[in-house]
Amino acid sequence: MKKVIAIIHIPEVFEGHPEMWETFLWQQDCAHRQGLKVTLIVPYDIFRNPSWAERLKAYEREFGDEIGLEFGLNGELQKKFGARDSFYHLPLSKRWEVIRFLFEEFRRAFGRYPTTVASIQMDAPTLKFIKEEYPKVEAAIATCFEEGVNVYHGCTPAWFNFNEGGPWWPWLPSKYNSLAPAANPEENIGIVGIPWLNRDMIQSFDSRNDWYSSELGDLLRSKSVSEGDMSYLYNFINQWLEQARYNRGFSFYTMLQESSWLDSRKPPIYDEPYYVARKLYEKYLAFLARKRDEDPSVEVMCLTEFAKWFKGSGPGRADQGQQPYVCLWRDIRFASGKQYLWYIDGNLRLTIDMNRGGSIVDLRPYVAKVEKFTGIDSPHLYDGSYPYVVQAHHRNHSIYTCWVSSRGFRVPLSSRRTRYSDVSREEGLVRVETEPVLLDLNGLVVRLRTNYVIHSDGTLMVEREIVDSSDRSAQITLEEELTGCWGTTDYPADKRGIKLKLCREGNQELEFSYLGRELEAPNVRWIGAYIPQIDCSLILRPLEEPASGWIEEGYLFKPFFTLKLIKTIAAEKGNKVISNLLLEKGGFPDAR
Amino acid sequence: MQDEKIEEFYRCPYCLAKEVEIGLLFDEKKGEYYCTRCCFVGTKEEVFEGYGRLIPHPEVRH
Repeated sequence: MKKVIAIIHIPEVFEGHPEMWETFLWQQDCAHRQGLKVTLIVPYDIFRNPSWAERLKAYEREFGDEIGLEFGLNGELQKKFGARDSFYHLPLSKRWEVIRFLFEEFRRAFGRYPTTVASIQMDAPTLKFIKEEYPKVEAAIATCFEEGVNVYHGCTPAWFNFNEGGPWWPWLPSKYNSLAPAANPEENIGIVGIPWLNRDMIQSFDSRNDWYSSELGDLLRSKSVSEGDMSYLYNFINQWLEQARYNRGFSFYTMLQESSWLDSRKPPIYDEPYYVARKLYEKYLAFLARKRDEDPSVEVMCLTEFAKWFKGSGPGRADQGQQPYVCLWRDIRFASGKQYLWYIDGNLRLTIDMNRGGSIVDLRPYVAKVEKFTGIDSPHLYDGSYPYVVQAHHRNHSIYTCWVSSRGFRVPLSSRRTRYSDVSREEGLVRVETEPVLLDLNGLVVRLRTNYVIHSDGTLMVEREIVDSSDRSAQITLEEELTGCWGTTDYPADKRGIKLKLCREGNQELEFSYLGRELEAPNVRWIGAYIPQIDCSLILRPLEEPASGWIEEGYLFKPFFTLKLIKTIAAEKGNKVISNLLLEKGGFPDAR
Repeated sequence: MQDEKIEEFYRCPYCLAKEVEIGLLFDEKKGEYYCTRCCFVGTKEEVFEGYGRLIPHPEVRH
């Protein structure tokens, strides 16, 4: 059992206000009073000041802190490099210049290169360049989990930095896309990626990830904590540490805080004065220290130390590729009873919403190996998000669920609530069980349970099991339905060229042309969609017994494709319908 | 469209405050409405209380 807490401070001193250094010293004292060591992510304008650099070195010597490098560009660097943009949006060649310059300046200040680096976002080319040029780099704070559409819609200034569809915990960034974990050692860049912050795993999906994070300033902005009530933050920390239960004893909590948030000179973007933030920050660190003192499995680590351990440990296993993580999150912000189950490995990421009968509301096919980088010389510009193939919030109709019908009554499981009942793990798979959903189908009362078995090769097995029935002789029809699309935002991407197929004797196929066509056939081997834009196939296959298949291409006003397996069974206890959802790179299995 | 008979249909007051229209679902077992988009949960009265807070109707002063 190892529950890791990482505390990260970024000293921020605005130009012309050197007195802000004192706030950083206060912040450091606050952590050290609690016996907490800190990873210091230091920008150029701080470590170029010799007396400040000396102070940072003293922290390393006396308290075991670690000094890392932050890739921010101050006014001087912007002028020097002729660049006003964020580091992660610079053209790649310019980025290499900045990295080389900052690494050399860092070495001049501290006598060594950094082994931890940080930027709100770092794409695969950037991480690869850093690892090749500076092989001793172990850790990179390289993503802001789920920063994208929701933040963009909600914040006052424009915030053009999209990196949705990635990991929420430490991961092994892959060479083709830093947001996708490496599925095998060949894909592994060799740096451990760390998210900027931990997030509320319901609010960051439903709402703004930047409002609901482990950073105190964010929680003040969203009115989630106040001087009189810190309970949300304490529940948040506890829930993160509890994730060890589902992850073979491992959990990770990182708290990053820029010192300017605790300073009177920061333009207030929350409504409390800085001294309230300071008071709450002291309480925050005291709570983390208490967790360490009360629970022997909690360990406070700096990032390089953590990354070295992680690569050789069970959760990291750099020699085998990214191991699966699960996050089971219950709503602690609004106490609604809502639960999301998140799963990630090197082949896929998915989100199951228990409020929607255990339906899949987000699916990212890492197996497709979508290459992407950001910046002004990238075709994707600011949009680094990994594409979805199911996304129920950005794209509303898109969901993977099951329709149930009998006696002339038809209802989707997504309109019923459930809760998870068990999450268990075996080598190479995670099994998620949900509580049965009660359905009244014109007098036929049925309890139906959904279970998922998620294999780490990009395959899902979905079981719908009848747990109870008021009439065992009745027939019940289950329609396993995936309403899919692809994209990264809430606008539809071009679907022309997507192929839909019913695989059986005498295959039937459609090429997506927005004509709203449908095809249906009995006894299919599988049905599928191939999305050439991301070179990804989704195959839905009945297991055990044949089923009918149905495909629909959608139209411009409702641009989704639908795959459906239809099966009628007796409404008898223990009867099951089992389907396989396979994600694959490339075209349909028999067409390659 | 599902085949259930729809007698009452309310929109989520939290989402409505953000000018987003999401129909609430009803949990018969718990006797409460809930939103599939956000974390709103409440009785019919609480739904209408939420609506009431959306647009103030101050008395017109002459």
